[in-house]
Amino acid sequence: MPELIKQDEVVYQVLDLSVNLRRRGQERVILESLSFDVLKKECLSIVGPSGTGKTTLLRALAGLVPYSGSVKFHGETLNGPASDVVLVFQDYVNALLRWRTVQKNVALGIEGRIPKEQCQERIDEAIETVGLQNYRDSYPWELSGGMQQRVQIARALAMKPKVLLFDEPFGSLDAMTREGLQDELLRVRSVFQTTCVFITHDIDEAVYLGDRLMLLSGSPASLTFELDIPLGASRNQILTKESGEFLGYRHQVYEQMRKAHGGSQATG
Amino acid sequence: MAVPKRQARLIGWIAPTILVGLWQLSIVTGLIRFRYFPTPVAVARALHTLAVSGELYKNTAHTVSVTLIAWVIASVLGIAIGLVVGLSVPLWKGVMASIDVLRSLPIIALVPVGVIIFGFTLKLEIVIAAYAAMWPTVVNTISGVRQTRAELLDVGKMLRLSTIERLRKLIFPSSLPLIMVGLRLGLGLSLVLTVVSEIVGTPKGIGNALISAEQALHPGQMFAYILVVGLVGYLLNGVFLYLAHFFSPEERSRGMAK
Repeated sequence: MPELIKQDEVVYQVLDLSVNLRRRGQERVILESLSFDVLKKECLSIVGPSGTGKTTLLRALAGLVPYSGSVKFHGETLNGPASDVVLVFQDYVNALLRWRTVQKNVALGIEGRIPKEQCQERIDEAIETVGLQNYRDSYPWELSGGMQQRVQIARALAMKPKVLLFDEPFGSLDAMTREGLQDELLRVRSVFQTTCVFITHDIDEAVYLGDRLMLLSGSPASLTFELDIPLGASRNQILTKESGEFLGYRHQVYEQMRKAHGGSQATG
Repeated sequence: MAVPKRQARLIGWIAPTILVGLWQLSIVTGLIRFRYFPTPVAVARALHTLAVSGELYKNTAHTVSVTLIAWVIASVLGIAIGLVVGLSVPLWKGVMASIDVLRSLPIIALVPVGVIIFGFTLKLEIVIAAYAAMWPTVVNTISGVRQTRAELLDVGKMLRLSTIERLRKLIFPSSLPLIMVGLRLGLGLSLVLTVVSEIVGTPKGIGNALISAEQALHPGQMFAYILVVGLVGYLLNGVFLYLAHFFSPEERSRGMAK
């Protein structure tokens, strides 16, 4: 019912978005004519097989790649990284500054821009939100993968963004750590009321975290399926994932994903 | 096989001790019959004489200060040139071939050119040493900058850092390990070229003392100065590494873990 949605409830308005990238001198169409909205305070999951262009889509929303078509952020055409939007990268090792402590990494986006005391307050708040208060003065390479990704999330939170874009942030973590961070993300979202776009190739993760889900597939990639996931705000790794509703949504997405792959392949 | 540090150090002394012993023995027993080949004892005696006369200190101080002055000039220039070239793709494409040619040219071949321009002056020493020491820093800074991870630059854009901030907080620190390699190579070269220009003709420093001792047929003193140059090189490198460890948290923690 998009016509019922008030304009100020729309964070991103994407119309006919296409992205071409040059690789080894060859221009390739990665995304073709995508149209969708991202609504305030929702978590939109975007799933798709590896290599479809999910990351490219997210980078377009972040203002990191040139696009054609129209992307409006709070009603204004997006060109370049917008303020209030932060992308959390999959590759936390290279996204963190290994010569800076946890605290200094979290400070990167706000230091020198706001008064010192306020800056320290924000840093402390962000670090406590992700539960790293005992690791303030550690260096990233002294931490586990999950903790490093938390540092990156804390750095994003310290910017007080209205929108968080997640690029498969838990993709390279083990299952236990990943589930812990998923719950942490749900908690952070309920505290900060941040709008999220979450990209993953893990269908369970997409359904568990999303209020809405979109399937990206094909080459060039387009949106082939959309699903509302009204599981509510409080979700639980065991109960939610065993509930009939959850399994039903999961089933639908799997089916659509197979269909998009010509029925021949399982998901990747 | 893990050998305790102290033990490893002791083991390290065995080979040189045996070599020096053999050297002494082979001359004393007449196994080597070069007239101007001194025994280690004679070298030690010469070293003592030079130290007492104050000559050793004067010459070493000259060479070390020229080495360091040239190195500092080379480092500042090298990092500046490296950053500018590394950051600008068109510039990099335009000058990289020239840089490769210039730095591959054996620098010693340029010493005569320097002599023609500057004569045997302090300026000659500093210019030649600085020129030599600059290239490793230029080349390593360029690769450091160009190897900055794209992810890191994206982070800079995402957190809306200004160009200066990106350079200062992301590109420079991430290139620092390679820049340090360049600086360290440069320090070694700076000493070598300082001594070379002293040997060729600048009337001061260890190189000059070494060649004077040779011409005056004082082989003991000559070897004493060779020893001193070696020691200076070793110590400069050691101090550099110590400082580098001291300022790098990553290195420091590794050192502690050992």
